[in-house]
Amino acid sequence: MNKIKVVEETVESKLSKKISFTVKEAKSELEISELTIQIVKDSDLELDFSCTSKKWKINVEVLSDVHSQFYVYQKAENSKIQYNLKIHSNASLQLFKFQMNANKEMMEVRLLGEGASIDYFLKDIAFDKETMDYYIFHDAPRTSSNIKNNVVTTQKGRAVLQVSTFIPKGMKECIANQTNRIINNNEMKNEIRPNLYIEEYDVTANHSALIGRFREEELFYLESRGIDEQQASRLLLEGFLLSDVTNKKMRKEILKSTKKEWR
Amino acid sequence: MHTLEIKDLTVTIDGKEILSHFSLTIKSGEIHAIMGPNGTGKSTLTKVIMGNDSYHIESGEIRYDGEDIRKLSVSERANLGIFLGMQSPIAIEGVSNADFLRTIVSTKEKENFKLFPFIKELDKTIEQLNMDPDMIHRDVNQGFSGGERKKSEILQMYLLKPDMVLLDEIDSGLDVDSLKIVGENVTAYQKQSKCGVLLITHYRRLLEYIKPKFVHIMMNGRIVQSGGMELVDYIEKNGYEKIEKKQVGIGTCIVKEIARHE
Repeated sequence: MNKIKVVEETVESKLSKKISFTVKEAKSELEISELTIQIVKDSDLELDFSCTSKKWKINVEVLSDVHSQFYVYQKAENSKIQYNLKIHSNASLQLFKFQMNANKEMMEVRLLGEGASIDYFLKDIAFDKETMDYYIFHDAPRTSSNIKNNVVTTQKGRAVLQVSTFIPKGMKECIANQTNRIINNNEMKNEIRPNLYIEEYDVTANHSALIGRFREEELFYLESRGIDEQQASRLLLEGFLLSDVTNKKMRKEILKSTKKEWR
Repeated sequence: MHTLEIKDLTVTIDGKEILSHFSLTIKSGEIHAIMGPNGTGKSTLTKVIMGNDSYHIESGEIRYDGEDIRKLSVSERANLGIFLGMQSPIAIEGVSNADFLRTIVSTKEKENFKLFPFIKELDKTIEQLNMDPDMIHRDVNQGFSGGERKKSEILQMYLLKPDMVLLDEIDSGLDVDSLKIVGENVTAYQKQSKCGVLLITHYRRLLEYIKPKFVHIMMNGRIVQSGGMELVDYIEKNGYEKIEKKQVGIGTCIVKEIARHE
């Protein structure tokens, strides 16, 4: 696995030739450090932002016909990160992100060439206010976006999740899915703003949004197998955060965090 | 020897009466079948026995081995040895069958839990139920067909080894082959464990594989007639309507109560 770890303003890396990157350091407090990553050949990459509380702008470019998986960890308190993802024709990016604490982030995805696709899976435990603002632009026909956000709030945590998908006129046969779910374990107010701005008729688009707790019948089913309410809730929570994640390290990290918070 | 005793149980949901002065006793080794029209309270009965708190018990008792279990939580009832095979088992995203089954069995067996015998028994039961061995890596009931979900319930029953088994429409959604497998496996488990069984069903076919000693007809939240398999024949021929309209004396069946609509 290729690795990039950001420690405050510096970047540590362990990369193959399939990935190139450049760093533009912030010159002053007001400036934003910038990391630009280019994926040249099929590869996977672990990106760790857990040791930085600085402002970062991350530019990612996946070249044509290249397929890539990203595993992103964002566990620092008060991180402010902006992502700009560019995906070229017939290229794909699967991005799995595990984040905790309080984050403010903006992500712009550009599907630039025909056949480009993004699968984005957010697994988030919000301990404080989280603001996620995502923009997905289908800039070419036959592009696909699948955005799945699973957020759990706890302690003072709350989440504002805005996901906007744009399909302009002429971008035929695009597929756009949004699934946004927030499970609240506290009494804080959460928000989901799912937006689908579609000007083309020939597209497939879905969205679903849920803010709430686990269903009574789910808990009843588990408890009827002899596990108590607390254990049943934890199992549902773990499942909610682990679904779709097959990467062993990420699964381990998620389980470590859920076990710590929900003993 | 275990006994599940339901005495004069009246249950409501949102003020609507679902079970009305319902009484039934099931002992170890006995197989009881409850049949009845839709919406008559059959599934509610199994959920109330298991402790689902969506329902309100107005009066009556539920006793297991003499102990009043109304105040016990769902998991406490399960740990007494009561098992409910559900009509529509819930899918649990992100939790693999392997993790789920290991969690429930290790919770039950506590310090006696041993991984190797568990895996051995799991593999054996999966084969016995003619299930796809890969199901173990899939999420609980996620993307399962109706038949797979029901087999998964029976698999859990085998692993948890309950003394009192409630099966709510375990035959719905099963094709002919799966029905045979499920039916034969429930019977095999019952013979081996000598557990008590309460079957909720609409169809005779299941009862050809799991032969009940007692058949009860339920209407308007209570048992209106009890008997043996001859009662099933009567229902197949005449439907429930006639039972509702007039008292029938068939073979050895004992007429307990007639619906209040008569």
